[in-house]
Amino acid sequence: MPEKTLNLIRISDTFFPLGSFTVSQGMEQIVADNLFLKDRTGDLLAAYIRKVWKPFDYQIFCHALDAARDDDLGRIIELDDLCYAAKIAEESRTAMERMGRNLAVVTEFGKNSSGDTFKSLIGEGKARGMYPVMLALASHALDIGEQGGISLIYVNMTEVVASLVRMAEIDYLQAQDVMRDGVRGMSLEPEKLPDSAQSFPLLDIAAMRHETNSHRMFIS
Amino acid sequence: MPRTVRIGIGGPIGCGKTELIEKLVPRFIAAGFKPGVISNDVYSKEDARRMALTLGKDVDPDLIVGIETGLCPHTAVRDDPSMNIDAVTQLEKAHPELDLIFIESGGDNVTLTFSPRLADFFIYMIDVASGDKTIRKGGLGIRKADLLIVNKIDLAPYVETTIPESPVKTANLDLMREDAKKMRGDKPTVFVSLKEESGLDEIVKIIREKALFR
Repeated sequence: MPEKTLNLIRISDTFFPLGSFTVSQGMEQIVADNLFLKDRTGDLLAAYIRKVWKPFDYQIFCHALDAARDDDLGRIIELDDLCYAAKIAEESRTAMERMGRNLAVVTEFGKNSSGDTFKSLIGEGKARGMYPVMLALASHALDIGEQGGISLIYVNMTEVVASLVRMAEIDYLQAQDVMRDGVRGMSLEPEKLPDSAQSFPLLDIAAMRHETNSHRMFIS
Repeated sequence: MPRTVRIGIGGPIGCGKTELIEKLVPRFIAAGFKPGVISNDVYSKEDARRMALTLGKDVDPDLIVGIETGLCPHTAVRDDPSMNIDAVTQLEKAHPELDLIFIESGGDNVTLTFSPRLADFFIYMIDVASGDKTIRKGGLGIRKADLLIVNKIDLAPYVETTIPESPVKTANLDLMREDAKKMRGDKPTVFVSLKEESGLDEIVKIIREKALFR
């Protein structure tokens, strides 16, 4: 198996230390508000993909990958700031930032590459290191390229589904059904859009409500 | 093959899960039911070994199964319960006469829940001695369990309260009851002393009504 395929599996594995097990992407609040419908888990996941991950997070990833290939540090920083600013709820921003920083810690970049410099800037507190941007830099460094986008969507999917299992809203086999259908419906071709946008108000509201909830298991 | 009613029991280390099973099994046998037991331990099969000794006169040792889960106890009963489901299935296959199976989780924290595919009825257990503030902290186990059991109420006069607002200095059972109501609504909470064998009849009644339906 080629090294880059193994690297793609490695960075998508829940064993990979991103801290994604602490994230529910609003699910904990959706469940607390009795808005979660078990039979519609697949639809919910599809909505996430359609409304947030593909039109925004994935777009940021694609553009950051281009910037990494061009060794364009300015563009990388710009995309990092854009990604941070676009996440309405603070806990979503924080979770994504933490995952990106965790990814930076375990990724080796070529000396003096834009990835290497960006990692230093994160360490100095001069850049945020949002996950989609950091994943693009890591994908470039690991020679995964556009395939890293698969990891982006897969990791997001597992965060949502695993949180539902941990809250015992769905069981482990239903989770695999949902993941299988999600993977089946996920277009794997890189799809760059002329514009990036995200709109899932229900989740933004849930995330903001979650921030003020004193009893919670997940950080988002 | 008929599916046996499965009762999941979880809670922190030392709260009394094993003892609860030891006290419940003879009561269910006396009421005409045939129970089996699966006991999860992280590092050993000590609880199963103990129950085989303590329940030996009432229960065929084949009906007490020990599982060494390793890692996090809640993973083995929720995220990937395949090992437990396999054990339950084997037990049901070998003993189709069983009416119910108690599945004891390894000692864990308040985030514990059972996979709905593994357990039909979920009991979460805590004890007074570990702090009367535990219920107000919430957590999935406390909020979602079908039955919350608070053990060791006999120790309440001997431990200090951990709730700053408590008007009494010892563990405050009244505040714990109020907290249970706030956290769990109408779902039942039973305060027991397994040592003194108080509250056990109520637990049996609730399990019969809400899980066995007879």
